[in-house]
Amino acid sequence: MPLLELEALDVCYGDLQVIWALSLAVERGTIACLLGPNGSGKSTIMNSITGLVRPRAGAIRFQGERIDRLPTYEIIERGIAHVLERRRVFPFMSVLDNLLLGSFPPRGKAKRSDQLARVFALFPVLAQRQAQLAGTLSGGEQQMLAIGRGLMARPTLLLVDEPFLGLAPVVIRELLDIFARLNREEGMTILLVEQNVEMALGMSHRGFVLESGRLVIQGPAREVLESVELRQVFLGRP
Amino acid sequence: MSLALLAQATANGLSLAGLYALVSVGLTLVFGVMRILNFAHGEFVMLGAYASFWLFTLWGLDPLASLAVVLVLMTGLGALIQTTLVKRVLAAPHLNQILLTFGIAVTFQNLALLLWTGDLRAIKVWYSASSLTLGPVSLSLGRTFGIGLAMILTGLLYLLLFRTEYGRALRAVAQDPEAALVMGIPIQRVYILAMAIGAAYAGAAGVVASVSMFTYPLIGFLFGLKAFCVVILGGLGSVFGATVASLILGLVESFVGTFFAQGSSWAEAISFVILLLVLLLRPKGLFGVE
Amino acid sequence: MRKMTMAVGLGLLFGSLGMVLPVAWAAEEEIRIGAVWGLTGPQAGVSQEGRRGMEMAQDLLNKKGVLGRKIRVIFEDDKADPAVAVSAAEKLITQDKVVAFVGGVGSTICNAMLGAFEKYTPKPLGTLTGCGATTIEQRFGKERGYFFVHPWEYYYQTTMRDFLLSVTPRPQTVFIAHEDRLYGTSHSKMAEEYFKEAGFKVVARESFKSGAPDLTPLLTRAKAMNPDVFYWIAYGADAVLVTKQGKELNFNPRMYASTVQLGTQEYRDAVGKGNAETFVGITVWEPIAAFPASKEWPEVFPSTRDWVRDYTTRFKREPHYYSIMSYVALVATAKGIEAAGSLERDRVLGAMEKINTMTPMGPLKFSPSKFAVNHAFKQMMIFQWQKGEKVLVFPRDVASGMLMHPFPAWTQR
Ligand SMILES: Nc1ncnc2c1ncn2[C@@H]1O[C@H](COP(=O)(O)OP(=O)(O)OP(=O)(O)O)[C@@H](O)[C@H]1O
Ligand SMILES: [Mg+2]
Repeated sequence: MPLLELEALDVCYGDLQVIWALSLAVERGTIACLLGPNGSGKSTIMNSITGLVRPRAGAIRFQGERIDRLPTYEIIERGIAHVLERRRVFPFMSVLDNLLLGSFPPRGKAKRSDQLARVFALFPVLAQRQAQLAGTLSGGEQQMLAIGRGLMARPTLLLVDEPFLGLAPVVIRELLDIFARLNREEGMTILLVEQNVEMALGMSHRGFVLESGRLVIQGPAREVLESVELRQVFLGRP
Repeated sequence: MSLALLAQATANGLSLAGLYALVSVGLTLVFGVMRILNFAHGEFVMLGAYASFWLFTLWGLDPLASLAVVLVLMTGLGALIQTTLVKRVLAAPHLNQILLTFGIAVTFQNLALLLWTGDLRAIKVWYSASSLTLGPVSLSLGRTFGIGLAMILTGLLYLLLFRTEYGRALRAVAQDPEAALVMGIPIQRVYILAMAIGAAYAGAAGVVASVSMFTYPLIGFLFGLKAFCVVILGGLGSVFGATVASLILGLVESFVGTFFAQGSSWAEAISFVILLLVLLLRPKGLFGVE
Repeated sequence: MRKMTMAVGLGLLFGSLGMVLPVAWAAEEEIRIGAVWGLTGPQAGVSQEGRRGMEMAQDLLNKKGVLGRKIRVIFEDDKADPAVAVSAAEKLITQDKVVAFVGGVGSTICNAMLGAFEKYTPKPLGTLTGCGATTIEQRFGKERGYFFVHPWEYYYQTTMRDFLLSVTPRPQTVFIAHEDRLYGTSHSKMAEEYFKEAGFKVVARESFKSGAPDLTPLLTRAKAMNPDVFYWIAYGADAVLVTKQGKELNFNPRMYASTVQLGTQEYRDAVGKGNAETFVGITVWEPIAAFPASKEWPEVFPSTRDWVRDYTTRFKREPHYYSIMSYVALVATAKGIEAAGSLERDRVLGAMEKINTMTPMGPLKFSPSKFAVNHAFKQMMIFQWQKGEKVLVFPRDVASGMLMHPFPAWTQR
């Protein structure tokens, strides 16, 4: 049984349908990436998973159970963390407050101090900046905070929407390393949205490629990377 | 200008500020969390004042005791209004939100007029118009009660906001509701909490008003308008800003009224001028963030 | 277009009916009096008081009849809207052919109605209860056919002045506070002028916003000036605040004085009996006034006590000053008709000018005022709250009790 399963999903904004009959599955313990040009619907899919937008039709299953009608806080409580596109830290709160908010759900609160220690171990810079207002952190630090905040709820599945946007190569490498560690050391399942096709597929087990709201390619990362269709989608030519 | 007069003016200003603060922190909280301007906020003051009046008149309940009852009743009312009405317009255009809260205000006003007539009502307890004399300064017990209550309740609100999980969640929702959602915060409950606090605090202001001044069905307008000034001056959504702005307006109005001829009719205009000046220099208000 | 012509046609039809019908009705024997009141809407309370007064007068007059005929008062509702009042009045003139107008409330209404009467020659007769504004006196006072029975605004202040002059020990200084719109401003100006003329020192005349939740700054300021009299001109809510907050601030002038708004039950209940104690206010008339019965017409103008008793028995409520004012207005008009011996305008007018009698509202005699030719009831009264009841303390001849003066300090109560 896959950890996360989307089945024949249709999503609309008002009358405008942006996702068409989309099905995909993410296996437990894997890293998967969701690729696609701007506006192809990647964020929309992520947001449907955590209930920020409600699909018009289809089903979303997590650990075998339907979650697409649950309120967001219950979805989170079941073990999904969502690191939103563009970080979205709470700018007028301290780094620590941001992290503590990540453990608002009972599953995080129970192990709050352990989890905090773990996040500080992964991102030492956050430990140093605990009292600083999150809005005053650098872009890279904010991204780390956003990821760290997601980890505070001890998720089984981590959704990350474009984490590398606008970051320096060193920081990107650091984050890549952390995702790999989370997956390797904690068996965390990660679903990643990314623009950089090669980097994303390079770190993932499986890739999904989206075009105009339809899933056009899926398969093991290496195969996707080498497929002809991928070039068609991204470059508009074979 | 004598020292005694200065002290008296300060005391008067503080008690006014306390009343303003009680009304406005709730309004700003509701705006901060839901981005809704609640035009029915003043009516919570009116209802609180009537509740206190009737509890006293029918059952002889002292306002100090009925305060607890009023807080509970108004919390319930706030929650009810949130879950049955305001919830429905959260995603709607601003105009609809304004129309809804305005409609609630008018409904409450007319209901009050119907049920309780337009007569002025006030509670007469032994402390309502009697005073402590501290040297040359007279501080009425009713108003001292008002100042004390304002300090206690605002203090409690700060504790809630900065020392509790739900308070942190509330601040998070105010800053970024979507991010707060994916933190696993039950946002509808936070909205209910905010509205309930808003209503309860305004209700508490009503209790003070019923003792130290009076109430009538349209008194909510008076308080609502003042609260809007305070909240805009302090910065929409900022509880701290509302507290500071209450102090500023309360003291300014008292000083202008005491030390200048015709000051009492100018005080309000001067408040507006301060508001305009601040908005010119800082469009988001003193402590606003957007 | 066809609809339009239809409408015009119907209009003409009804219009001509209107012209014809009154002639037919006029043949009847009754004497018609027009009464335009705000029977519904914001003036409903006072208007109903006035209506009750007129109904009582009508029934009493009709026991004997006037010139062998019956008086019929035709009531119209103006909804406190001047435009409605004007059309109602014109209907009363053209259709009902009323002999005179009696009653009414509200200066804007009065102003509009008298304005509309300008186009008639001769102008209708009127015994008018609703016109108290001095602007009306200036604009329409010269007309002999208008008999004004509501005190002009300045009589409030001359009464207060005369009262203050009568107080012993005589107060020296007065602080005047007033709400900052038309009512408070114009009255306080008159008060300042009259008080100064009479030798009082007006230490300040200061305005405030009516309905504000806090008057402590003003009262603190007044307290610092330590006046003998704190006199304020504003509305009911303000009176409540002055009382409560004056007490809070332990502000102890020798006298707290205000105008008519101080006289309501609502005020007394809102501040509590004890707190209203010794506060004085102005009133046009109170049921406790002690006027004797008329010598000329005791059956319609009994003593105040008897009249109040009859009124209370009939309507199961206390009379308002509008009840008695409109009662007196109707009776005076009827007596004018009776004395004239006909319904002819100029004769009725002349007869009314000769009336000189006592009424339960006080002595009735029309005489010139500042600008008007025919005005009655120039003397108002001063009441004082004593043990939760209003006591008339001025003028002396109608007083129902002694003035309590000076005001006992709040701490000594
Ligand atoms: N709230 C919204 N209301 C209306 N349309 C929306 C909304 N959010 C997204 N869309 C539309 O849905 C489509 C998919 O948007 P989405 O944000 O999911 O794309 P994306 O693949 O994440 O793009 P990007 O790579 O630029 O982040 C776009 O056409 C977008 O304009
Ligand atoms: Mg996106």
